[in-house]
This record gives sequence, structure tokens and C-alpha cells, in this order.
Amino acid sequence: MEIIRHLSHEELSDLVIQSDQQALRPLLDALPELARTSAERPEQFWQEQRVAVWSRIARDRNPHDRKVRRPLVLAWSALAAMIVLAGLMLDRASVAPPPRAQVDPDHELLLAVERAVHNDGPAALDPAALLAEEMVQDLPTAHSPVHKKEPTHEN
Amino acid sequence: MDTVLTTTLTSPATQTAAAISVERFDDIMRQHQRRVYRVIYLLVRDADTADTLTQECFLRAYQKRASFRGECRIETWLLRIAVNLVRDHGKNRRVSFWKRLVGLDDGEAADPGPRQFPAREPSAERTLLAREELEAVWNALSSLSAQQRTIFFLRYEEEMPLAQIADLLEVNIGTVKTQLSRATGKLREMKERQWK
Repeated sequence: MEIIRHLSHEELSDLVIQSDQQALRPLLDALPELARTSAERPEQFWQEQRVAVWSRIARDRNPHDRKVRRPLVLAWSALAAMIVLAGLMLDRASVAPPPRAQVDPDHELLLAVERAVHNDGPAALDPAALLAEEMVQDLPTAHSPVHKKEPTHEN
Repeated sequence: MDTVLTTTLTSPATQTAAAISVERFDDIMRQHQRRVYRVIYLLVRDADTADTLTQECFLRAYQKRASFRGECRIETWLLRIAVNLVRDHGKNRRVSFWKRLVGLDDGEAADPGPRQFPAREPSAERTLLAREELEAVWNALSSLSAQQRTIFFLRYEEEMPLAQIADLLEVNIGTVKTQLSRATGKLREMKERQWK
């Protein structure tokens, strides 16, 4: 009995490739030469290409240097900014405060009293406030230049 | 015999360590720029883009030269950077396409599309003919995925061994074979249709 071994996927691919290669032989044989010819360039082209690569390398080096220097620049800038800030703060501190306007102590006291009267006082002082209010209400009747007209019994 | 053995055993590591020094970088560029350019050109199909990406590839290689440990050949390492750049370029192009479509991009930097060749080649006629023939292959493979096309170009246009392709693309060799068989199948299909 003949034993038929199954081909592996790779072996199968090998067979397919070999078969296709045979069928395409003239074309595949010509391909390397076609590829080489189509990519041919004069010597000047290759020279220019090398120069371009070196100039790009040189250009690439500078940003790298800048990258290295950047933290130093940042540190110096921060230090300079701090010095300026400290200078400004010291300058402010050394300046004398502007003279305050002259105030009349009597006027100030009057204002304080007014404020105390208008503000709500503590609950314990409510009776005193009421009394004061009554007294204030009574005052205009006593001192008012307009006298209350007394009821007449003319009619 | 001893000398030969020592040279054979130690050369890859020592060579690679010395090869990525700043002093030798220009030599590395001279040695590999044509192939890097060609691979990129085959993948992007645009001469100007290939030039820009080749420059970018060497710039990255210079920047990352310290990370090269010599696990693979310098050429493989450079081509890996190149293939990744092409992949990123493809993504950027897709983003740019959608931006143009929704009006976010004014289209000034629009991709001029493939087949924009500068007129500075030595034998323009011969090169043009070669490109025309390549166009047919590119068009036939245009429906394939980017990875399948990359594998096809590396195998048949750059004649790279499958193991090196796997190493370069950081996939296993089985994947390379599967993708390659799909690519050749597609091309064969196209050819047979042409002949009928």
C-alpha cells in the first residue's frame, strides 16, 4: 500500500512558486536587468545625494545642540525672572506708605455713632431701642414748627 | 588555517562595529546608496520620492547607527529601514488622499503620482524602455498587497534569497513563500490572459 504524505503549507508554496517560475521564466529572468536599468542615474546624482544626506545630518545636529542647551537657557531665564521679581518686591517694601488724609476725630465719632444706631443691635438692647424710638417720635411733636391743628368744634 | 578561521569567525562583528562609525559612513553610503535607491524606486515607482526616501534612509541610519548590533548585514539593516520608510510613505499618502477628498488639504503638496522621471539619466531611451516594460509588471501586481509586491520585487528584481527577505521584513520564511506564491500566481494569470 502506498503511503501518501500530505504536503505542508510551505512545501505547497514551494511547488507553486517553482511552477510559476517556470511559466514566467523569460519575464523573471529579464526583471533584474530591467530594474537596474530603470534605476540608473549619472554619477553626479549619487554625489548630490550624498551631499544632501550630509547637509541634512549637519542640519539635524544643530537642533540637537539646541535641545541640549534648552534646559540651561530655561534655568538662566527663570533665575533672571526671580531676581527681577525679588528686586521689585524689595523696591515696593522700601517705599514709605502714602500719608493718610487728616481726619476729624469728632466727625469720626459721629459717624461711628450713626452706624451703631442704624445697625441692628443685640436683642438685649431691644427695649432700649424701642424707648429711644419713642423718644425720637415724641421729639418732633414738641419741637416742630408746624403745630397740630387742634380739633375745633365749630361745626 | 588559523588566520582564515579567525578572520571568518570574527569578521562580521568587528566589521559591522567599525562600519557604522562616523568616519566610514560616507563609504557605507557610496557602497549601498544605489541598491537602497533602486529598492525604494521599485516600491514607490517615483524617482523623486525614491531620492527623498533614500536620503531619509541614510539620515535615519546615521542617527540610529549606535543601535546597530551586527545581527544582520549592514545592507539588510539599511534595506529594512528603507522598506519601513516606504511603508510609512504609503500610509502618509493614504492619509493625504483622504484629506484631499474631504477638503482638509489644499492639494498643493499633492503626490504627482508615479512615472514622474527627472530628465537627468545618462541613456534616457534605454531607461525609458526598461521602465515601460516594468510598468506592465507593476500594473499586473497592483492588485496585490504592499507586502506581496515588496516580496516579489525583492526576490525577482533584486534577486534576494528568501531567508534575507524574511530577515529584512522581520517575518518567517513560510510567510515569504506564501506571499510570493500569490504574487507569482497573479502574474502568471495575467500573462496567460494576455496570451489567450
